[in-house]
Amino acid sequence: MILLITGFFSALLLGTIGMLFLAITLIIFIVFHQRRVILYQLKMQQMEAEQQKVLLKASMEMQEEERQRIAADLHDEAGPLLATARLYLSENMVTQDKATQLQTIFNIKEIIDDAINLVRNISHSLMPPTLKNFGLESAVNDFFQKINGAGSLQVECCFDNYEVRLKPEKELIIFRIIQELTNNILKHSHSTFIHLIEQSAEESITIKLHHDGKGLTQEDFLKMSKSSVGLGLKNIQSRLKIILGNINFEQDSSRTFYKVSINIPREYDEK
Amino acid sequence: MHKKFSFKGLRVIFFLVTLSFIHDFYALYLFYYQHKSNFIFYNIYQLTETISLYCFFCLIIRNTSIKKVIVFFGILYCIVWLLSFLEFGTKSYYTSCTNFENMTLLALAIFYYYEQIIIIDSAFIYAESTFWIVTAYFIYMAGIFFLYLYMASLSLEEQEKYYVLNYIFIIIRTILLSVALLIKPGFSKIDNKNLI
Repeated sequence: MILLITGFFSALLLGTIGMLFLAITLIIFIVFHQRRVILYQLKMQQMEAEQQKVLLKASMEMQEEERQRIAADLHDEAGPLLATARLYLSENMVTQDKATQLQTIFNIKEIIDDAINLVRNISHSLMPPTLKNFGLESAVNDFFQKINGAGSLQVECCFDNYEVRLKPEKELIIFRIIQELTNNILKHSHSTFIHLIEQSAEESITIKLHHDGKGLTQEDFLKMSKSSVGLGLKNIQSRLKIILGNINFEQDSSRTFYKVSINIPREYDEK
Repeated sequence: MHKKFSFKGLRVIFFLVTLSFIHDFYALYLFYYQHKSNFIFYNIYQLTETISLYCFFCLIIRNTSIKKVIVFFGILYCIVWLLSFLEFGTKSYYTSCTNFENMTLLALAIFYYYEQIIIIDSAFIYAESTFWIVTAYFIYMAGIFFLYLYMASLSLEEQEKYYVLNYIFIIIRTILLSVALLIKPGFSKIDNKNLI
């Protein structure tokens, strides 16, 4: 009986100590775990900020590259053309005979026509008129026709029910991404064909690019977009970020071709 | 009301601490000068304390479903209290109510800790007064849980012997509550939007 009572009381004390121990352990665990969660989240935030910085840098480099290209075009091509036209005009045309005057005017007209064409080309490279006037489908078709014209590889695209157009600025971004991806395939993959498929849905549009050359996997893409090389890939990433899209690089299960899928959500007024 | 107690939860605790102070003094007066216990007074105090703590948890817990559960606990507790009152009247202390209170408050405290891990809005959890208040009651409830569970089966002599545990945990609770009331509000608040 005494043993039973002693056991009963010791159970009370042991229970109290046990409960207290559990309570204190739980509190300590919560405090440390919460600290760890915060540190982890801060680390993630830092990584995100670094990634943003890389993308911003890539975007600025891209802008700078574009400006340099335009400057070079204007300086090397438009500059000499206009200078030649000026030279013709500087000559004393009044003292020339009529035939020479007409020839000079004809030459100046030709030079000005060339300058106009050049400016048009620069303008078109900044904003393709087909894209502006007829939309993404026509612009991509136009772009692919030009590549096909070269005859080195077979390029084709298939748009499925692209009736409701996206916003012009969004279309331009997608077009630039397609251009960048196609140029990368042309430069690095040594493929024999490129096939683009567009699939429209109510909520989003998906663009898939297939090619049979040497391609990238998602791992390669992530690795390259974080490294100092792969400016084009960083540009793709920063462009996609603007339109809230995502990209996926993968190799087909048969390992015969690579696939790049881009998914872009539609906004409320694009549905 | 002092600026420090602008948070409603702290006001509830401030009310509870004041009530507890009055209760302890009155209990001592009854014990030493009247040499008797006034059980209905203790039981009413217990009812007020429990309802106040449910209110406190209702204010600090963000999950609306749990808030509804707290209201349910409150109603259930009142029913248990009334049933105990009808059964024992003013002749004994309602240990079943205390056990119910202990179990529900322990569960709510654990949920509060869980919520603190899920929704982080403070860089240091221990820099929040609510954390110290919950900890104070969590340790107190955990400490007296077995005591009140066995209370009914103990003799008066044994009850007196083991009731010292209650005093020890009241002291611990009071110290932790003092820490809570001394903490500056919003000391380590962080912007939740910045966290992923």
